[in-house]
Amino acid sequence: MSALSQIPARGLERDPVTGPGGRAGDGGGTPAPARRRFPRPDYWSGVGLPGLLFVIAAFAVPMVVVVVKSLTDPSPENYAAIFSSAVYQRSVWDTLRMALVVTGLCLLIGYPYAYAMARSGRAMRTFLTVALMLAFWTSLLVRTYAWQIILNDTGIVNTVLREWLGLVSEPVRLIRTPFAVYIGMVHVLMPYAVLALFAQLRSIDPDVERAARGMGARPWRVFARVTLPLSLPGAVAGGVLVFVLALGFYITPQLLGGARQIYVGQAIMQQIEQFLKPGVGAAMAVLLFAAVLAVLAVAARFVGLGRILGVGMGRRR
Amino acid sequence: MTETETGTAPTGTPPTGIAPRTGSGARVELAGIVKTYGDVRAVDDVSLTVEPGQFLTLLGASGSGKTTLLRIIAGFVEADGGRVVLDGRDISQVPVHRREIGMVFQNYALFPHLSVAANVAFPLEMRRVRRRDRAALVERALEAVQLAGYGRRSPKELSGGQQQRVALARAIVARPPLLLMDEPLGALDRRLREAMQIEIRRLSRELGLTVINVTHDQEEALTMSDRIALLAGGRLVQYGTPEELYGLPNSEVTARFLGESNLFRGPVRHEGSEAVLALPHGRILVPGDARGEGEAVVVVRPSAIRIRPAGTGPSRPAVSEMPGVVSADIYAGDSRKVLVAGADGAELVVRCESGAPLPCAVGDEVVLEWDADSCHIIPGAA
Amino acid sequence: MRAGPGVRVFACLVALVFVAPTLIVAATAVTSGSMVAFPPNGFSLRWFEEVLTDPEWLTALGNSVQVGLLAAVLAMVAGTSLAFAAARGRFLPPSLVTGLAVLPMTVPLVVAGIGFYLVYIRVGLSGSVLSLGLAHAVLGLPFVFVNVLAALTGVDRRVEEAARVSGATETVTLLRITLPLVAPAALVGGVLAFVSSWDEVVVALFLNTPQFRTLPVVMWSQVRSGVEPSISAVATLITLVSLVMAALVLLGPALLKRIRRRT
Repeated sequence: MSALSQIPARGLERDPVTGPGGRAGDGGGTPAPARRRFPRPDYWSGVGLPGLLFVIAAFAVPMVVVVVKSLTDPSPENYAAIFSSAVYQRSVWDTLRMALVVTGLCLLIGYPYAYAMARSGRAMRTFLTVALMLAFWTSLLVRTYAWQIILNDTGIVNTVLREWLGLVSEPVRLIRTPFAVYIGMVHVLMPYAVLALFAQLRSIDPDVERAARGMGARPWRVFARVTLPLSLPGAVAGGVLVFVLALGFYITPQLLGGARQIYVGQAIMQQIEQFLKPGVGAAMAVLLFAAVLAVLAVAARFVGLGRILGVGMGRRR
Repeated sequence: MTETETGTAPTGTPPTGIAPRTGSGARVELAGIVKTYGDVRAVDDVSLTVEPGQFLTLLGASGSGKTTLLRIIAGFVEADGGRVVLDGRDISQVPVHRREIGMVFQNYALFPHLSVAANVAFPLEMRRVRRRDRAALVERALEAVQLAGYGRRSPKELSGGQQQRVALARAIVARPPLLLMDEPLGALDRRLREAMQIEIRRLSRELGLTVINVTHDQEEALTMSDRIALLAGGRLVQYGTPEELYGLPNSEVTARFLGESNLFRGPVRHEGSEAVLALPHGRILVPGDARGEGEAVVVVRPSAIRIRPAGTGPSRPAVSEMPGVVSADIYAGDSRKVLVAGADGAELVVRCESGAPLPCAVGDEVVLEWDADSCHIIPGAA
Repeated sequence: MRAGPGVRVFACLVALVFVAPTLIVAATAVTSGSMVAFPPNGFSLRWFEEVLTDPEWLTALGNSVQVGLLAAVLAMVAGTSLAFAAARGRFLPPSLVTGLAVLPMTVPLVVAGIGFYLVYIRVGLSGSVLSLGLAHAVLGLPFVFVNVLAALTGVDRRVEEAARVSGATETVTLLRITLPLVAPAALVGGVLAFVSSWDEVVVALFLNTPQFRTLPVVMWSQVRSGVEPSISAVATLITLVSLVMAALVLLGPALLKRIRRRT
């Protein structure tokens, strides 16, 4: 144990106060610091300052500018124009209907998928998860492009129908229809619904279902009376997210939709690119964002915002 | 309640070849430390002095303020009032990183992303010790905690006991004048804890470190400490050597907290040359040195009590007596614990040697007796 | 309760629909013909070769990579910084910081695009790696923020206290102890920010100029005039990069753990 005695005694021969002083952030080697509060009450707020400045400069300011633009280019009349125009109103109703239908389809098709993912053997779950993730992480533009290839007049479906099966002589009109938009949007957004439902279904204690079975309930009744109600929060979270995302879609309707349905996202682009009315476009954008936040705020009271936004964390459309 | 000790620093028996390093530990003075959280006085006017090289234990139940007090000494918590003085220098306003204190945490708090050697080297690095000196110092510190050669491992690969040794090495490597320990052994199992107690004590003696240790474990406090500060409700209840706190408790709190004890409370009455506690049952002599009037508490340790069957006379003159009924007889290896329901309903504890036959069985009426000078009185206890 | 056979068959069919588009795009990219056809006429990599030697595509690829990296780095710095303020700041209410950091996740891309467009035009930043990188950093920031915030709540404060008592200032503790401990989480967030920038179209459309276009923007402009094997090749490349990144994030930690255990 002679090793010990070789450790130099007492702070390695340094003055305890000034010795280690003078490092970054402690104000030099002043011997006895004046009365100062420590830990500094706002040190961590200080650490957050760069991030805060960044978000304000790069995000908050642009958002405020959009609002200002909507009110001043040329005037708040922009909003009146939106509310009085039949074209805009139709666009709003079309968008709402589309978002609702897409949400409904995503939940309807996504539920059995999530259920199979949550309640199957390892091989099945792996297959379903890999397929889901493959779709989820394929770019939105690429997937929309794929549906273009499939649904084109000279696309795969029409080739099969016309050349292989000879069922039709003229190409069936699939692309540039609401139908194509629905297919594309459901394909793009369904993974969110599945992930939300899957997370919820996995969190249900299997013993609860077993207990219901043990009490003599038939499988269908167990599902209807136990599983379905318990999985509802996941459905709400996934549904709200899909709905909110669908409201602002631009790429998919633009490529797969026809000229007759102009959804809000497209209408905003149109105002800026074609009609050169950025004020009106900005006003529509403000209303869209407000609608999204309102839906999220209402939904947050039921399932919590973290739950909704946490779905498919790391991926947005 | 402050007791200023000026005695020599205890050195124990130093291993051959090492002179006791008295003087390398700091003298720590706490003066009127106060800390309130909202309406709660977490630390309430605590003052005490630790001499260089002493091992002080802050003992108390959870919520007694012992951890807050330690964190005030370390500098993590700023006191609302009072001073922390290290070797005559008021460090109350010195930030944590300049206090040059070593500290061991309950959950070890090792840096999980650094190797064992890098963990131990960290304080040296922060103190700007030259790189080539560091390796040797780290190796010596690891040797001191019997972990030589473990430097390249990751803390995650080590057992709990080994992790605590690394934490100890990190705390002492820069030879701080003061080592703080926040329930360092709480997470270890009993055998390991006892081994570590001995080792920490040996190390602190060899290095002449002043140590302030926090624990709620009275056994740990009694075996390791030169001084114990018993805290309750934020206040310093008693400060002294383990012997003083155990043998001469100054309050019911101390008597109850340290070891098993039987407490009898009542007004002191003088009967001729004797002072007795005026109780409806039994006859409890108050030790001769206490002559005060009024309320007092008599503390009797379970091992001082003898049991005899009811109806027999006292084994010797001038003993205190208390009748009761045996309610339980618990074998505990080297001793046996006998519970007796006293005449006033209170449960009394007696410790007998487990080898000797018991003169009674459960349900028997007995009389407990003890010598007047083997008990202790807390005078004027309100 | 196990899923019944009907449910499983249905799920498998849906799974096929999930992956079919991605596979079809890849198949049409490796055709040796000059038309998008399925099944493809023969196998060749000529379209990949063409794309990777075409200056327009190559410039766009370079832009995309630069924008993605800039966005990832900025998002990592800003997101981590905000996560510290949200987890520990007392001066700013944590709810305010969290709200600000998560808000970019809720904004529709069209709306965000207009905002960036209006501001960046005004300050003369339009059409550059910097402008789109800034915009994409905002969109990627929440991923970093949420990841680091979660990691921070798992960091034992006593580990930081041990560093402080060892003589480290707050800043040294932050740099030497806390940041390394949350770095993996920040990196995951950074990869996510890169991917979200990599295939983002809408905001990129707002900020593009004829001289500055990213891969998705060029693809978009070509797609609108029809389908081509060269577009399929680009689409396949974009997808491959996204999938590799996603696999890195989803499987990386588990793989790392396994490798570490072996050594």
